[in-house]
Amino acid sequence: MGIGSAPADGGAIIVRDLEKIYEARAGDRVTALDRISLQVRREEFVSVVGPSGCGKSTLLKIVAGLIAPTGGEATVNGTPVRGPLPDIGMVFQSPVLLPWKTILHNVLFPIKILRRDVAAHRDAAMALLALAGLADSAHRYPSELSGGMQQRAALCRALVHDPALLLMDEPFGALDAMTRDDMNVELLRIWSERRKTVLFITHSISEAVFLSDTVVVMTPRPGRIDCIVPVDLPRPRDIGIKDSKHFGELQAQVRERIYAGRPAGGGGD
Amino acid sequence: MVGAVSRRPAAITALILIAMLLGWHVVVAAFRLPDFLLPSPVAVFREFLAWPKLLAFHTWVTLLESLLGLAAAVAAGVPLAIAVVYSRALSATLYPILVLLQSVPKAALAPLFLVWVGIGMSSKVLVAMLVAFFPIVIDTATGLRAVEPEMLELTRQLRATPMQVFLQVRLPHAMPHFFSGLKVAVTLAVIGAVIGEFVGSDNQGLGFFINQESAQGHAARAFASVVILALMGIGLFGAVALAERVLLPWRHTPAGSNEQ
Repeated sequence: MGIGSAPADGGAIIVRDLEKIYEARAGDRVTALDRISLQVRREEFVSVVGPSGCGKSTLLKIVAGLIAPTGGEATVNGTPVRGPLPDIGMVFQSPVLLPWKTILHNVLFPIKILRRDVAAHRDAAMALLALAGLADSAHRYPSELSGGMQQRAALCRALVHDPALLLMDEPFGALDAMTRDDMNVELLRIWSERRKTVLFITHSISEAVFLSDTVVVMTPRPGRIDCIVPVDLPRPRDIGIKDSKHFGELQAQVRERIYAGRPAGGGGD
Repeated sequence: MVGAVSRRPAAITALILIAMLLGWHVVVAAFRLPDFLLPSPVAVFREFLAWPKLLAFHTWVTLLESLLGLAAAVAAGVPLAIAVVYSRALSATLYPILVLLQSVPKAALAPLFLVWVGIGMSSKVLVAMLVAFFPIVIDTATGLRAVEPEMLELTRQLRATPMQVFLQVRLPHAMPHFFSGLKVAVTLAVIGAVIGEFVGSDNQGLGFFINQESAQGHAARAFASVVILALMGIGLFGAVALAERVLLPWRHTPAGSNEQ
């Protein structure tokens, strides 16, 4: 992991001089990303934190191949990103499950879209649901599940086709604080069983530090990487680690950088 | 618990209904109102017993016109909704026109239909279709568009084909909206058929019958026909609601009381 114009190879995600400029009306130009470079190793858990408008979601969508950059390049597993890559699992802020399908068939949805053998993946989907504590809910409809359970089902759906990469865009942002803590612990447990390279976008400094191997701090207007904070907390981590002195120090370090990038007394979140 | 809460208002509604019928009867009896002005509920009820076959015949005609009109509205409306949602050009050009046309009082066109397609059943089916058409087009189009942007991103991520997105995401998503439109449309279709019959008919249908009987001073017979029309509307609405329950069971799961 490192910033710079010439990162070493071998990264699962390599982002080099990435730039995204949106043309607004009347010739206004909004720089969402300003020559960003970073590198994520295989099976590394990297969080990107920053205030709204710092371009972190844009970064994620470019890596996913959903939008094209106006400059620079993203590479996933050695292949330059030219369009959507099915070898990626996506989790969004809302679970976006299909309300007419049971949880099991929601999890199997990517298999169906990818025209793979749905019956052959049924056991794998059930194993994932069991791992996420949803075995009893497999044949229920999404509306019968709580928000946290729905989001766990969405995580299973992202993992069902065994992608190399997991991209998560503020996945727990809509949950209450206690459910969010539970989901963080759950995510780490599931991740320890199904190791993926994870790019995790969040507003929450505490969440980023708790989950990650590395925290990337971004600042807005234009979206830039301010600094990269390695998190050397031992794994496996439980929620109690948040009370430790070192966790507090790391959190303070990230927070200081985020606030340093903002004008004094500035609004926004 | 749910039963106890919902049973009481239902009982009160029934009591109010009975009180209204009684009140009606008392007013007619007390003021000795002639039958051609306002018949008593008893007189109306007697008509059902006196003319079962005649009423059944006119009912069947109106029911058939309504259902044919509704079927035509679905057959034309759903493909049009799909076209409007999938074509940016149509969405920009045709959709505003549809919304404009929706505010045209369709019933006012009934006399023209009579001129164009004749006095037979087709002019009534046409009015029924026209009034049922708009709720189906507008609601279906709304439903097809109601897919969350993240779901569309997910399908793009998985490189879904447009046909996969349509059949596996958009169409099922639109079904609850389609059914809301259908519930409105089915009631409107009955009204459309009756208006068509009012304007001119080959001596059949409840609309024609109401016209003829009230002109001849048989108000009780006209009232009996109105009661049948009301029951027809309620029955058709109930049938659509039942079809929705059967076809979309996920809408009625125990905890699924959200949405709507």
